[in-house]
Amino acid sequence: MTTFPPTSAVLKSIALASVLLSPALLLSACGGTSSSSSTGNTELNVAATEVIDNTIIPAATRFQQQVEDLVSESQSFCSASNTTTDNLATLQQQWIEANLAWYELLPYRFGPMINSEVLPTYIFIDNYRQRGNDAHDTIRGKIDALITANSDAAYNAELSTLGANSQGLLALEIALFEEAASQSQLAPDIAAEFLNSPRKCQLLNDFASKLLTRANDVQQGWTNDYRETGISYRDLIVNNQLEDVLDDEAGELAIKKITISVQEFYDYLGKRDVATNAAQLSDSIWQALEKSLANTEELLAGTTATNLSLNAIMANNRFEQTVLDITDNIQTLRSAFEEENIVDMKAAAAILDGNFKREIPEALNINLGLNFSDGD
Amino acid sequence: MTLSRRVFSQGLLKLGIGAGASVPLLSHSAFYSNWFSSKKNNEYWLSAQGRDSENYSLGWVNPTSESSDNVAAKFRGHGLCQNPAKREQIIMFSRRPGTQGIRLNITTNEQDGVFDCAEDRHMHGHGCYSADGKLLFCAETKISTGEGKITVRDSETLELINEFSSFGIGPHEIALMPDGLTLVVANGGLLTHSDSGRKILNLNTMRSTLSYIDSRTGKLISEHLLPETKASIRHLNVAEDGTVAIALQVQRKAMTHNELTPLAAIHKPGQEIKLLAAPEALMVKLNDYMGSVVIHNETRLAAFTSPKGDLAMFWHLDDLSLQGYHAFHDVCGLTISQDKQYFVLSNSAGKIRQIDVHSLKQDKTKSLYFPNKSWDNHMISVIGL
Repeated sequence: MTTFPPTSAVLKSIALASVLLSPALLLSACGGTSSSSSTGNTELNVAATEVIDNTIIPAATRFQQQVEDLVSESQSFCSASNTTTDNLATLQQQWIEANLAWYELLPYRFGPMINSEVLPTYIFIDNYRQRGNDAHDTIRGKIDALITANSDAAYNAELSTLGANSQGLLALEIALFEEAASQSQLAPDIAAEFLNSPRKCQLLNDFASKLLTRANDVQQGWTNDYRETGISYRDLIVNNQLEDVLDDEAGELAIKKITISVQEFYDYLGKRDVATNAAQLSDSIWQALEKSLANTEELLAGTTATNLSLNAIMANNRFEQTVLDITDNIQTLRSAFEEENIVDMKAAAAILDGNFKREIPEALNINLGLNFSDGD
Repeated sequence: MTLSRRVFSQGLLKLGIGAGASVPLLSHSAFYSNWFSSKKNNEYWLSAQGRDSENYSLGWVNPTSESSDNVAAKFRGHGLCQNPAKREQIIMFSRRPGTQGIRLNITTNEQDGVFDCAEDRHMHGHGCYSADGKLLFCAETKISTGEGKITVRDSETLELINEFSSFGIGPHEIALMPDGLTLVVANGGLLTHSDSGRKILNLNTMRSTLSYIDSRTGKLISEHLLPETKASIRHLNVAEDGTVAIALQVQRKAMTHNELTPLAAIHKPGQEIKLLAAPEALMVKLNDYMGSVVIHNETRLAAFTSPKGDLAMFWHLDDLSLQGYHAFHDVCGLTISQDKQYFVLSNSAGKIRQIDVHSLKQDKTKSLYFPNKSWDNHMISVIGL
C-alpha cells in the first residue's frame, strides 16, 4: 500500500484561522459587508490569477520538463550498451514521474489542454480521459506492426497512421513496461527486446518525441503563445481578452473555467474505471491519483506564494463550514486511495464532483451557468 | 411630462451609462407602458429569464437600441410562442413541473392573461398556437397517472376546452406542422412526479417518441422511435417543407454501454429518424445534452445548442453534414434574426451573440451584453407591432 504524507496544502487548509488573517481579506472584512456580497469579481480574479500562476502553470511546466527528461533518458537508454535492466528501471521510473506530473495537470482540461475542439491536445497525451476507452490492445497491435516493419518506409508509414489513442503516455507505458512479443513484464525480457529489436528503440524515441510535442504545446500555450495569437493563454484569460482575440472561445471567466474543469475531473474519477485501466503496467495509478488530489488541495488552499486563496474567499463569505466539509471530503478520498478501495474512491470522487458543482460555486459567489447546471 | 423610454435610454447613453446594456435602473412600468409599439417594425428577442424566484420574468431585447425589459412572472419560464393571427400575443409557459403560463401583449407591454393547469396536471414548458391562432396547445402531464397530455385552450380567454393524449410520457416541445393541422410532439419518455420534483422515475423503462397527432381529432397519425432507447427527444423545430429537427438528451446513467449517441437528428415525412453525426471530440464535449434547436429555411441549416458542452452546432438538413460549430459558455437560447441573416444565441450570463448564417462566424459587432439578465433555455424573435 502506498502512503501519502500530508502536504503543506493540507496543513494550510486546516489552519483556516491563519488563512483569514491574509491582508487582502482583512481589507475586505473591515468593510463590514455581509457574507457573499463582500466577494467582488476583483477578488475572484486575483485568486484565479494566483491559481494559474502558482498552481496550473507550474504543473504544466513540471509535466513538460518530466517529458523532456523522458525523451533524453530514452535516447540515452537506447544508445550503445545501455539497454540494461538497471537502466530500464531508471527509464521506467522516469515514465512514472512524467505520468505523476500529468495527473497534477489533468484536472485543468481547458485552454492549452484543448487548443482544438475537434482534436483536443489532451487526447494525444491521455486518450483514456476523453471517454474511458481502453486502448491497450490497439496500441499493442501498433507496436507489433512497428517492430516488425521490414523497411524504414514501412515503419514510417505505420507511424504516420497512429491515431490519438495509439500514442501518448499509455503507448510509452506499454513500450516500457512489457515485452511486445509475449507481453512479459519481466525486466530482462523487456530489456532484451530493446537490445535485439532496433525498431523497439526507434518507436520508443518516436513515441517520446510525439509526447514532448504535445507537452510543449500545453506549456507554451499557457505561458507564451496560445493558438498562434502571440499571447499566452494565461494573459488572455486573466485579462478577459479571449473573446476579443479569438472568435470561437466560449468566453467564461477564469474562475469558472477552473471550477468547471476540476468538477469534470472528479466526475470522470467517479464514473470511469480509472483505477483499473490507467497506469496499470507501471502499478502507479494510486500515486498518480494522489497527485491530482494534492493539486486540488493546493488549488483551494493556495501555495506559499498565494496571497488570496479560494478557501480564504469562501471562509470570508461565511462559508467556513463548506471549507471544512470539503477538507473532510478530500481526506475521505485520500483514505480510499491509501486503501486502494475503488468503491469508496468512486463514492468520494462523486461527492467532490458535487462540491465543485454546487457548494464551492455558492461559497465563491459564482454562477456556473443556469442552463449548464439546471437546463431542461 | 412623460419621459419615453427611448428618450430616457438615449439620455443615459449620452451620459455614457447603459451603452451595450439594458436600462436596469427602473422597472418597465415606471416610465413607459408602450415600449414595443413605440418601435414598430423593430425586432425583439424574447426569453424566459432570471436566476431565482424573485427575478423570474419574461424578458426581451431590442437589438437595435441595445435595450431590454421584462414583465415579472411567478414561475421560472421555459418556452414561448407567438399567436400567428394576433401577433401581439406572446405566451410563456412554466417549465416542469410548473403549472402556470402568462400572456404578454407586446403592444401594451403588459401581461394581459394568465392561465393555470387543471387539477392533477403540470406543464413541460412548451406549447404552440393553432394555425388560425384561435387555439393554444400546451404539453402537460396528468400527475396521478404520468400520462402525457396535449391540452387545448381558447387563445382569447385561455380557458381549457379540451385535451387529448400525447401518446407518450413527458411531452416536451410541440409544434404545428406546415399543413396547419398536424401537431408534432417530442415525448421525452421521462416520468416525473410533482412530489419528487424533477427526479426521473422510469429510467429503466423510458420510451421516447416523436409523435404526429391530428390537432382536430387528437388521433395519432404516426410515431417514431430512436435506435437508442435512453435518448430522450426533447426539443424540435419544423422547416417549411416539414422536415423536423430534433434535439436529444441522453440518460447516460441508465445506459449499459459506453457508446456515444448523437444528440441531433432530423425526421422527414415518410422516413425514419436520421441521426446527425459529428467528430467524436465534439460529441463528447456535448455531455449528452442538447438544449434547443432552430431551423434556418433559406440555408437549410439546423442549429443546435448545448449549454453543458458550451457549443452551438450547425448541420445541413439535406446532406446531414456538420457545417460548423461555435463555442459559447452556457449557450442555450437560440433563434433567427428577422432579417434571416443571423443565428442568435443567448446565455445565462446575459450575453447574446449573432452568428452569420452563411459563414457561421460570429459577428462581434452585433454582440450584446445585459448583465442584469439571465437568459433561460429558449428565445424567440418577433417584430414589434
